[in-house]
Amino acid sequence: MVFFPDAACGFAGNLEIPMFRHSALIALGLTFSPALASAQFYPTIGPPNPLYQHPAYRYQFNLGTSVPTVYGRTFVGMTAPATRAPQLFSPNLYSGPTNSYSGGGYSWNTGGGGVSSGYISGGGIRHDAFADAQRELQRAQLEYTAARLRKDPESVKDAIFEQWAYEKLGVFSLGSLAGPKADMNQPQELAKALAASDESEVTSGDALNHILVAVIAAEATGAKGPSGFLPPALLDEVRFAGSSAAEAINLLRQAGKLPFPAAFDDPKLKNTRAEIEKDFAAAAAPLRAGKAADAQKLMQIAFTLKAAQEAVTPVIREMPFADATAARRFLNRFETAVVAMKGNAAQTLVNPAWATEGCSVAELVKHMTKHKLLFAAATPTGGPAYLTLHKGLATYFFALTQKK
Amino acid sequence: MLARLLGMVALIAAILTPGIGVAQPTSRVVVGASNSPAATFSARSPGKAFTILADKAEIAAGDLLVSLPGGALTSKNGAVAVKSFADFDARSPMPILETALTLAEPKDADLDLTLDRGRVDLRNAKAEGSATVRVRFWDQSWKIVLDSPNTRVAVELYGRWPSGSRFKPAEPNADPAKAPIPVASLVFLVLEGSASVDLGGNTVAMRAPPGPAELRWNSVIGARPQPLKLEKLPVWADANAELSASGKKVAVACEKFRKARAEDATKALDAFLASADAVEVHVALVTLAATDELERLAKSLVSAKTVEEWDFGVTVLRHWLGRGRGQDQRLYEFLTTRRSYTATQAEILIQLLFGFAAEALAEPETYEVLIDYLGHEKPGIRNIAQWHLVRLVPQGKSIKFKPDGTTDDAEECQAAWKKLVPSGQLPPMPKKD
Repeated sequence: MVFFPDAACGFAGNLEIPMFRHSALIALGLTFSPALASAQFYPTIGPPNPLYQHPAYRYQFNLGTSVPTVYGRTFVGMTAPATRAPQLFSPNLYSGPTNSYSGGGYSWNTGGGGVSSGYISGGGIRHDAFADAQRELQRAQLEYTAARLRKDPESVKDAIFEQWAYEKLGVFSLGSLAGPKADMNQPQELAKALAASDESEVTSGDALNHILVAVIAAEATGAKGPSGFLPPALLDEVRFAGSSAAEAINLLRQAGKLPFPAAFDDPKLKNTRAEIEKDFAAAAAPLRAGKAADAQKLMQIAFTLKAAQEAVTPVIREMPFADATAARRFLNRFETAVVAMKGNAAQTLVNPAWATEGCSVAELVKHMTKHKLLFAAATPTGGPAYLTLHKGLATYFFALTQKK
Repeated sequence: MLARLLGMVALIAAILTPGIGVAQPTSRVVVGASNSPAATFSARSPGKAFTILADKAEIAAGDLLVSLPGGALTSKNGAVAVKSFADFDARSPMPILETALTLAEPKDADLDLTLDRGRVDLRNAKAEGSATVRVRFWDQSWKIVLDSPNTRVAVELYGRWPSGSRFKPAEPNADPAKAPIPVASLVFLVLEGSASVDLGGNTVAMRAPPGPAELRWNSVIGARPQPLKLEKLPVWADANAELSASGKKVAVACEKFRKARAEDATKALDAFLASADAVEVHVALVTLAATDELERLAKSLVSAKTVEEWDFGVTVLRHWLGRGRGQDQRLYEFLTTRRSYTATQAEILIQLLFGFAAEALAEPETYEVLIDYLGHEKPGIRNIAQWHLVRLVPQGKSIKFKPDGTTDDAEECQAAWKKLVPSGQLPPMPKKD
């Protein structure tokens, strides 16, 4: 025990300060003192760094394929993250060769990134194809960023003028009905799509669609190349658009957990909602298993939807515009989907293997080409999946188009 | 003892009673004078209602001045003359309806002016030497030096909610500074002579065309410190440019309104609102919105007899909403507390006033819901839905619609629209003439 007066506290008399106080202060000091810079940034074994967040495993990008083995299917290839995580806080900063996903300074796959001749490994050709494709993607992104900076920033005045023109003249001045698909195959749009590098640029689906169109065009010329593997969890997040088949696929893959909009939470629509769920589940079951649909059950769901359109009218009239349009959109798309579910190709709309084994980017493109599908906007939780898909699709495009 | 008690009570009462015993400070500082005939300007001191300024009235610091087109004033020292303009002929880069500004006591300039909205021309009115004007708007403070006598510059500011903006009622404890705001754009143009503009760090030397004459700012990216070179003055900026026949009509109506207002403001407004001449009704509607008379504006719109009156009323309301931060929440509060709108109904109306994103116009549901709203119990929502529909689907202009019609009239109109734009389909493309 050590005794000494504590004048600062103003206590009269002796105050007992036990020795463990010093020990505790030292321990606290050690706990909260920052480590040496080198110790912070070099690879360490320790608890996760709270400033570094890497994407969920299911959204990592995989290049390779799944092959059957006696123990079931196994994945052969390499895995890399699609991440915008701040690399300065990465535990792997400075640890090994660069990886073009992040623009340098970070390597997820310690065996990759370096230039390999393939002399010993025998795998050099495929690896180089992937690396070249990655470099092409990075170059395209840099070029587009520079072009965007040079763009004339007159958008605000234009926005004001457009509103005024709308008041005066109506829709003629907007020229918006042409939609984004009109210039789908413009090289500039493709460059912009390839350059997309964060979620906000890919969640609309437009960037993916531009690349998809370019991939289909490249495949049509007979080009071939390696394509990445898309796991089931990622495929779950993909939404399709562009045809009635797209609506059908979206709904069929969500049967049992239909994305009812807010209007259907209204008690007045409780029965309507229950009937839609029941009738659709019955109609969807065979199609989800890759079998032909039951015509009578399809007729029943079509009838239920017609009745629902009438039932929602008084409810949505009292709803904010966004909720009202969401309710109408849901029913309209549902009706469109039912039309596709009656079609000849209905039993191939859903590939049951996607839910268990996943598929490659090339297989996804093939399926989309067959059913004339485009990518729809991502769901609120689908951003990371779309970003990973964008990397996979862009890499596949460069693999198809690079000079051999 | 009793006297002492009474004395204490009197003292406490004197302290607690406002205006008794303690003289209220009078901080009215004159910073300029109107050069316009009576009733050109409406002025509002902080916390008070608008009043109409008399001929050659003095202008106090902090008063918000709303001007009819052509309103003129000079700084207290006579060095700077200010004149307001409106866009009678839709030539301007921005659709100016009225001008509103505030003058402050100048510290480092001859005139300290905060432009709220609209267009002003600033002129060096000195016999010799330069004149300096501090111009403030949004978060900006520019120091403009008008190099020589009769140097003249124009400043035009306008705000709007871009189409597709989403309205959301403010949370009770939300930080207003983080709320969504409209976008604003400002054009600064040297009309005569030369001037330099200190943008708050960068000073830009400018001169009338041909030369570096134009500067632009907007609320998203700020100012571009490089002036645009113009070969000649744009038509909109030329104060002496010949007005079209319709422009002249508006100018005549404004002057007629000013004269009537100078005699009796209330009678003038009533007469113009009830006028058979659409232009006169427009002048009255602009004045109601400009002076924040929402109650009266709402009543006028609900009882609008003609589609044209309603149409212009919507433009005025959209203009009012775009004036600056918080206007959307003010309208929401007004509708829910004064016009017996439910929260959802107010949200629908304001969202419809904002308009739609281009993507929404490519979706059938946008049209379908607008047609649904035609059957709404609130005339305001029915009418704004129709306002959009005739713009989006010009073929529907022939469908009979009464802004002051009954719900039966609205249902008839709704049925006709459903026939033109069937459920789940986009409207037929308009035929281009």
